[in-house]
Amino acid sequence: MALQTLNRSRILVAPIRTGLRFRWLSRRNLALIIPAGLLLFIIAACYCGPALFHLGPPSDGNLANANLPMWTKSHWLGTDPLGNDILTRCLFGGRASFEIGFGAVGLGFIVGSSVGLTAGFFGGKVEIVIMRTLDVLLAFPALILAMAVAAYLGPSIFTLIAAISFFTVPTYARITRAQVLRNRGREYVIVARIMGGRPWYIAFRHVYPNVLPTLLTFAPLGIGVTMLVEAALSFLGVGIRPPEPSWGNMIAQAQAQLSQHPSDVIIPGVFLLVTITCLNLVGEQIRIRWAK
Amino acid sequence: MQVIFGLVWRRILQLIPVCIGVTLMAFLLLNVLPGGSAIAILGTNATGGSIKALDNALGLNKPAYERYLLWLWHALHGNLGVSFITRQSVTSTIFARFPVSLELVVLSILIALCTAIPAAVFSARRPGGIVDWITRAVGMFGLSTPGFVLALYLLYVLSVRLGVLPVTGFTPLSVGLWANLKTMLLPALSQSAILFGSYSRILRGDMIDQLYSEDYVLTARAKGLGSLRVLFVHVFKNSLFSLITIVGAQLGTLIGGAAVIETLFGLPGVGQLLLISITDIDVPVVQGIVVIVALIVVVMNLVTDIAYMLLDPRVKYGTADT
Repeated sequence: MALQTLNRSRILVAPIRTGLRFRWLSRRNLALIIPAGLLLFIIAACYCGPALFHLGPPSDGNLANANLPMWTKSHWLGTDPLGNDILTRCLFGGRASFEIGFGAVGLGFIVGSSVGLTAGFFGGKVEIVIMRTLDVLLAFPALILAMAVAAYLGPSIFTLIAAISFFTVPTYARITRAQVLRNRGREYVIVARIMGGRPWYIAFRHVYPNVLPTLLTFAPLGIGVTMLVEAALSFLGVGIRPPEPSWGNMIAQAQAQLSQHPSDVIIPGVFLLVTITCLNLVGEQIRIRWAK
Repeated sequence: MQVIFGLVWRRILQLIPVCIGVTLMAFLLLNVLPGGSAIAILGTNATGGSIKALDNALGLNKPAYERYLLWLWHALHGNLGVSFITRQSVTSTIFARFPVSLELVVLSILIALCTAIPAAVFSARRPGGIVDWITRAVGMFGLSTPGFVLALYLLYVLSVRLGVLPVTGFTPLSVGLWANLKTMLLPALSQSAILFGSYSRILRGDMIDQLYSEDYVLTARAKGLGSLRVLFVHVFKNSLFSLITIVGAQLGTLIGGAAVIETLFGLPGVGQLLLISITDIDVPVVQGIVVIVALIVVVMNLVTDIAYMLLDPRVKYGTADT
């Protein structure tokens, strides 16, 4: 009898295990895997693509090749009015977008979370001063701020990162503070205090690691927003300036000829749209799964 | 009611430091950063003497704190100074352009609300259903599409290919409502996509929360009310709070952020003025716009809080929000 059940269970187990093999491909997981994979592919294409396919520099086109249509040999996506290959420009432009996106979120994250941690953990007058300053920053129209800073400091990736960080710092500071307030009264903090830990030590070595995972779940969405801002600034001519390529300034340069050469506008637009959609989808999934 | 008045009064008092902070920051930002206004006006090959003379004429030779206090004093009297470039009053320049920006923002919010509310309500009715799926997909694309990209795509399809709407240009409201709407429709549509995304997601989430957690839904169903009536009347009314907050919070930033769309479509609004003034280093105009937009943001936040209290008497405001 026992043997029989064992056998039967073996027979039953087999089909279940073949089912198990692809369980990681469930609908829920695919919702994360597909956009994340596409995003990694775009990033890899931007950084490795030009070297792999021997694409030349983005802005030394030959005027003889101006305005080639899509699917031309060696210019798959055509060329712009200056004869530059559009695919090359899109890939190089993507680098700038990603660097600014990650840079501004990183900077905002580091500064914002330190400020938020200080405000949330120490409370009192420090907190009031910090929160009022953040109120001012939040009330200040951020795009205007970024435009002004970027316009006056001159065009460079670092300037743009600094300018766009005005968006990200207050947001991360507020989120961090809210998370720290939830942790401040927890047992481990009290124990650390009783053990004689200095406030700064407790704040950065005990509380910070505990709020960090939740904060990180906000990062992909932040990168998406930042890249949108970068594109808008470059489109307006205060971000990355031609001949240096960027998705935003490519669209700005091509918009005058929208009726004759629509693909010059549509292609960088699609790059922008797909990248930010992927970032948002990944961000949403990460928030659903790992945010506390 | 008394409680509300006390609270409003306290919030208004809290606005004062924020307003001072915003003006101070605008002032510092524009005066400390390199690239003097005189050089911007005269060109880079101006002589030292002529720069000094212009600095004197514009009042730029005084110390910074003195200029700030003077500016603040005039601003309190409604005088935001004189443009360096056009020599016209900043206050009147901004208010001449303000209606265009306001119309654009209000129109895009209206379009977004009229589409997002039904979409969210029907999504909440059957989460995971076909309506829900479409709403979420459209919302996600709305949130991920830069306004100017959508604008150019729409321009290409509607104006270049189909020729339904004019390409760019602006017809003032005084010429006629329809002529004006024809030029405003595309800009408003391209701005409303991102709003649709945030509105529909927030309302949908709140409505689903209410549907599954609140007793009054059960009561209403038990009374025999139809599911649409429960959804549209009871649940909808109780799910409005986050939507109101976000509409209020975005109104101010939208007016400031309309620069891209206004420049693209050639609408003579505040955003376009801002971009022109930034490139010309026309400090008084930039400062004026920053202050007005910031004031709108701050006041809208206050109005949203008051709307909250009037809508839901259960909401009590203590010191929790500080």
